[in-house]
Amino acid sequence: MKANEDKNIEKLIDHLMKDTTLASPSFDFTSKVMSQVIANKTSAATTYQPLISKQTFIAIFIGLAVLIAYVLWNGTAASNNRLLHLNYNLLTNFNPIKTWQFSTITTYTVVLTTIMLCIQIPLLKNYYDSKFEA
Amino acid sequence: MAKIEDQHYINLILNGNPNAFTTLVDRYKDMVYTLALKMVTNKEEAEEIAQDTFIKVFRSLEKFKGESKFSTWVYKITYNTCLDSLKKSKREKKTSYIEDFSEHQVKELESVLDTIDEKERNQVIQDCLEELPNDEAFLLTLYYFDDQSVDEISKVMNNSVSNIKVKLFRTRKKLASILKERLEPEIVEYYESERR
Repeated sequence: MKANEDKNIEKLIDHLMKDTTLASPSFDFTSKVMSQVIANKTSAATTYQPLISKQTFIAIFIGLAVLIAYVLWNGTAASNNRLLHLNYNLLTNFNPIKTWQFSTITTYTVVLTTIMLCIQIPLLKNYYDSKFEA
Repeated sequence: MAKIEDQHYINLILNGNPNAFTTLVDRYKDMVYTLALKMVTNKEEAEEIAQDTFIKVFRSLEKFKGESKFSTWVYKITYNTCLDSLKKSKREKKTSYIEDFSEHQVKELESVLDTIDEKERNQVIQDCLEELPNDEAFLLTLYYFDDQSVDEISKVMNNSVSNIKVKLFRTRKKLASILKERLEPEIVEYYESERR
């Protein structure tokens, strides 16, 4: 009897729900979703990403720590000996300005290029600043 | 023309064509919106939830591995988004009527519903669905509108198959109770006309 009753309720609800229809969102629903989706996609492309990732930083730190630990652990005698044998004469006698000769044209070119570069730096900076502010 | 598989559009999107998402939105927007509407019963909020759902779907499309149907996955995200929204606003509908029906009473309800015109009947059913607790209205919508199997519904609602079956049974009964209460005047009228 009870099972029969349940069957009847099931039939009734099945029959009623068959005729009902789905509700629809506003007509511009798809365009609203798509504009948000596209906005999200472009913002993901311009979001700041560090040049050196977290993993690289961790690797560098571990490497440094290992290096420091190694130096501290393995005594200092070897490094002292190496310093004593360095020959600094080559460095003090090396003076390229004395030996190299520049033509006047090269000098003018280098000076002019430097001046032009100095003018361009603030111009380029302004250009990129205004581009990213917008 | 045969319906092109959802997976085809998913592949297009993953290969850098976000506009292919339009087809998927158009395909599922009514169902997602209706499900949300059954949970929150406020049109503006339901539309917001539906939008959030599609944005979440788009963002996590890479995580969809095709283990279940795409629709099942979308409805699961809809369900969780609705639960989040309800949790934020701390709202929950509670209806507790369940009564026993005799076969005669069920027949009587059916006859009364048959006497009112289709538009009005639709409205009555929608109103009664709104009175159901959130997740039960959601369950009925999934079961009847999208022909989802009990197995798929259990995945969407994160519940066991046997639990969903029990819930489904109880929800049908609850809906019948609400209908009966709402149609009380019509039932009396129907009886009187029968007697005459």
